[in-house]
Amino acid sequence: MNENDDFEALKRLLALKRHEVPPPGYFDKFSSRVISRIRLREHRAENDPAAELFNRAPWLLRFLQLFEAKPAVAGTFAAVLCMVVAFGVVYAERPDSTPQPIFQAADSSPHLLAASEPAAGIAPVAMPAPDLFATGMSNGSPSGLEQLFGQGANAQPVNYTVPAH
Amino acid sequence: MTMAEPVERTESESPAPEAESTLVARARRGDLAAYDELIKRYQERIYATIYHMTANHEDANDLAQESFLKAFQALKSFKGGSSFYTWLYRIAVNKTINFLKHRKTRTHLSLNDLDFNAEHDPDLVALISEKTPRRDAGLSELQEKLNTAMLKLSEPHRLVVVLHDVQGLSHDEIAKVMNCNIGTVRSRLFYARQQLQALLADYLKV
Repeated sequence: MNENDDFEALKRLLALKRHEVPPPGYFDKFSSRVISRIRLREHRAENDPAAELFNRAPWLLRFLQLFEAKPAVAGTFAAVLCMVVAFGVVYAERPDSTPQPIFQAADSSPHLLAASEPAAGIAPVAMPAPDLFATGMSNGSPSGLEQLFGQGANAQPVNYTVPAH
Repeated sequence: MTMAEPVERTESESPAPEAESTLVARARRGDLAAYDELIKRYQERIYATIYHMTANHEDANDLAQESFLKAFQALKSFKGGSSFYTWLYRIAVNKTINFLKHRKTRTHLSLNDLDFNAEHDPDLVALISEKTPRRDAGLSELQEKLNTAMLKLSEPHRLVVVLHDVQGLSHDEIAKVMNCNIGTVRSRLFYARQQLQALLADYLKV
């Protein structure tokens, strides 16, 4: 392909385009017009936070302009938004799965607290089993108290009678 | 202003790269005097490219101004990977193509006048001499037919013809502006010329 030979006449015709010129003096004021618009935009941005926002995020302006140009898009967007909100409300009101009793887990594994995540530099200490308090205090047996306060604990059971009126 | 003969420009021939980089650095800091200088340097080429793409002076005026505004806003994102000139061209071209996509239904010509030199261009005189004895009428008619034919090309094909055959950019520069490879530029140019030749067959008999 010899493009120079094939398109010589066309290229001469296209030369005509280079003779098309804007009105005289057009370029004399072109740059000052652009600079004026830049200054105006900066001035507006200083006084108008919305303009500043659109200036920094032009995609937001295009997004809003899309709504103006195509109301169907705005309707669709609103419908999707409503569905998301409705789903959120329904999901938030849905009861959780089987409630877990808080103390059940502690009863079944009394050493869990002590075993899990000891603080740095502190040796884990085994917690006494809950039955120490329950059995020891209810029937007055000192065995539980002895375990709590040591062998030398001098604890005595007390009998107290409520006086009748 | 006279549009000179198309000369293949390369990036190495672009005006004083140090001065340009200094101006760009100053403009990035918000120096409007520096940006004014950059506008003056490239306004004619940017305007001409947009005008030849739209065939409408008012649209070209708006788009050229918008391109420079957009470039100033985006200067902070200009990394300097390409020359400022190529980067600016890309902004103008993208803006123009976007505009043309929305303008599909309206193709109103608002052509600039031909300069004085057109009547004395021997190539153009030779082209019209067989068509009409009145040179002025012949040139205006030719101008309108040429612009109408160019508007029938797709935007990428029209852009390649404008940048190469009218503006005189090299294939390499066009590839950078259009963000494609040189092979694509060559094939688009060939196809666009073929189409134009078919559309303007009556005016190309020499």
